[in-house]
Amino acid sequence: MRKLASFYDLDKEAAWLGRLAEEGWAFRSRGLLGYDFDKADAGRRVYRIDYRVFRTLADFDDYVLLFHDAGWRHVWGSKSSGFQYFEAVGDDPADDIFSDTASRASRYRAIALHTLPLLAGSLCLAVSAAFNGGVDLAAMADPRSLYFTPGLWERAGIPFVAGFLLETPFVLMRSFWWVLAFACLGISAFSQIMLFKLSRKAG
Amino acid sequence: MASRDKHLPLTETAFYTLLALRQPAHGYLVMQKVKELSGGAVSMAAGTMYGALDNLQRQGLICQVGSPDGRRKTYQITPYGSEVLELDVRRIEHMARAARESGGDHA
Repeated sequence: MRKLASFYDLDKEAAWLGRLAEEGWAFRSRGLLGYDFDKADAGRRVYRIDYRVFRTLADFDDYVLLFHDAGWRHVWGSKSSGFQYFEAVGDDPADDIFSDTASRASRYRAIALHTLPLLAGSLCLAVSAAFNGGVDLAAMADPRSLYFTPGLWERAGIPFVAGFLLETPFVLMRSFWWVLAFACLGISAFSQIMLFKLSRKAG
Repeated sequence: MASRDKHLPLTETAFYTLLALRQPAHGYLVMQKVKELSGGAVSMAAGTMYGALDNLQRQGLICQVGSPDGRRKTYQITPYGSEVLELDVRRIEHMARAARESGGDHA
């Protein structure tokens, strides 16, 4: 089963995986847009999520082994996936992968640091749109002027529809890319604020 | 104390981790030793332990050594780490002595 969901709070995300396990869905993997689950016996499973990027495969291997020794099965994650998903296993399962608030909070600071280039990149795009005439509100008021196909608006029927559909993607890229730049800027700024709040809450 | 080492005072977890690494050990062994050395008072979870080893290594207080178990990294305290640990022991001894000498109530 695939489920679409998105979380900022890693502890809430882990608790959500635990609730699905109680309904008989065992977490298998995570993609960009959602989570994959396997049908399993309904029961209590404890999940915990860490965030860490590794330089080498040997570093990643050593990390997974330490958790394995301490009673955690590495369910999903890779050397560069950042997010690492663990499930408590064994007769006397551990209840958490963190024993102090500082290490719990350091995950959010690491995510914020790794996503900082997105904020910087979208800020550059938005600034360049704002100052280089990318945002042309006068042209927006007269959308027909945004189309460059000669005589497009005098056409009718199929020739008009074909010409219109053909040029529309180019119009969107040429005249509305700044909307995308500002949306990216908004989303990445919002993310940084959320992560900062979460690191404060946990630490 | 004019110029104190920038890593002082050590946190309780850093202190016990350094103490445990006077003998070479891998991460899980350090977790067990910390619990034992602290009389069960300090119990470090896997993620916290991994982060602590990472930090102590970056600060130059511990280093990796050749390990008998090839896949698990083995660490040991560095000479600088021993120095910092010793300074912290003296700091703690001084605090305890100050508390005892300043009045019976806190003995």
